[in-house]
Amino acid sequence: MVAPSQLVAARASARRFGVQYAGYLAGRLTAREIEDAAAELVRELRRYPPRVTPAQQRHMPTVRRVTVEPTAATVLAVATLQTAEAPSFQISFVLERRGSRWLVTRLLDT
Amino acid sequence: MGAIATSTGSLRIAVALAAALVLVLAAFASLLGVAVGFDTCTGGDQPGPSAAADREIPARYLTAYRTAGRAFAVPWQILAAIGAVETNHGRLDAPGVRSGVNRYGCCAGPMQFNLTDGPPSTWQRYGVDGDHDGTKDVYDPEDAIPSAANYVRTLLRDADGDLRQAIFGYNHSHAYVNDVLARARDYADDISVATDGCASGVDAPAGPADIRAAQRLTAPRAFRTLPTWGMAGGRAPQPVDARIYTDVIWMLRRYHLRVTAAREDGHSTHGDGTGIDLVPADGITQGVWDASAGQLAHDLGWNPGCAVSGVRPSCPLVPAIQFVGYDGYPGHGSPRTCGGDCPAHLHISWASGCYGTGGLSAPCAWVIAFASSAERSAPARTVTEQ
Repeated sequence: MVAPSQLVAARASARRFGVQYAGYLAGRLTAREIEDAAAELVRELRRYPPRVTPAQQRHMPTVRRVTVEPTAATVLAVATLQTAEAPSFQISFVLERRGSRWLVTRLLDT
Repeated sequence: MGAIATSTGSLRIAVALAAALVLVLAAFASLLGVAVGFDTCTGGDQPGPSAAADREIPARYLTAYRTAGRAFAVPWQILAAIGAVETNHGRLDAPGVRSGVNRYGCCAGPMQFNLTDGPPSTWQRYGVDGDHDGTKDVYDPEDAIPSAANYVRTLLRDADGDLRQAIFGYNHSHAYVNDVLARARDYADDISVATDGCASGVDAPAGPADIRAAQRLTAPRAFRTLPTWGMAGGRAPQPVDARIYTDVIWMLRRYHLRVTAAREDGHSTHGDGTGIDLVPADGITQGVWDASAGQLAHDLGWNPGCAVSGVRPSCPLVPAIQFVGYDGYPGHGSPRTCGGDCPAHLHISWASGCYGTGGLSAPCAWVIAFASSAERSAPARTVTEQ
């Protein structure tokens, strides 16, 4: 199980990813500019980029909350995002330790 | 003369009555809002708008969403949520909303139809003349919204009724899907899909009449491949014995699960297609596991006392099920008991004459499945997004 001390670093990485991914969803960052995304996730995002809608371009979501849960070797994270006055929604992703860093390796279908 | 006058008067009355009847019928059709002229379905009862929907959605758009939802048997609030996430119901003055195309040069209108993929483009394939003015105008909400409903209906059919998968088809982003679903829930309480013949295809699987009842099936001796949406983590679709297919699909929907392994070679109890491994579609927390995989295990008769056995009769499973591998059974279970080298999953094996087969084998002579209900072959049912 991931040690509590490592969980702090993973949580910080998860929050940074949440903020950067929100910028990506709004078309303000490219996949390569998401610093806390692992190479395989960047490749996937570049291969299957979501379509940025006019409304997403106009109003970038903000990160309200990030929760993390350790598993055997990875950390599962849920970021709660909100766009203007709209209801909040969540994105879920997996972080893995790569060298000294925690990187997001995949987004979950949830 | 008198007779002729009477006859002429009767004729006038008859003509007047016929004309009135035509007018009444025309008015009735108009009131129904049925989009005559393209293939429509009956969407049945749909929930009314919430206070948030009334407050946030322009009246013209709200009417168009609800009419299109009914006409194409898709939840109107999903259409409205897509309209919100795309263009704030056509209110944005950004490029491509009211004229031209978006910044990426592809998409246009309040529902952001792609005009450039293809040919035929998505708009060419799914665009309809919703207001019957003789033109299909991608910028006109009375055309664009029923066109989106037409598109979503097809996406739902292709996704076998799975709402998440259908929305993902509209825009390939899980964040987009979650945003749409959150707004849809804000617009109306119940997000349900009337999966009748037009929404989900002819083989929309229904639930069993009673999972505590069973039927012994000797036909068809065949395999049937699971839909892509039913597999976990982008795995390639695998087959199951055709006689348990509807049971499996029902489980996936009812308990929001996905398959990690079905019929595959060299996997104990998986060779004959009567065993499956499942994980939650939302496999994040132990609470989610308990509410999905754990709930199914319990509903099938499993209890913690079954742990190291998992088979009948020591484990009081329902008649159709031979084995449940969950918390406590080696190599199986939720993250509560399964971690590290143990890949968390719930295993279910149906009872069959070939139980335990590891190598690929032909369909078994007999399989016991849940007792089918009249509903199983019924043309319509409701699947609720969970």
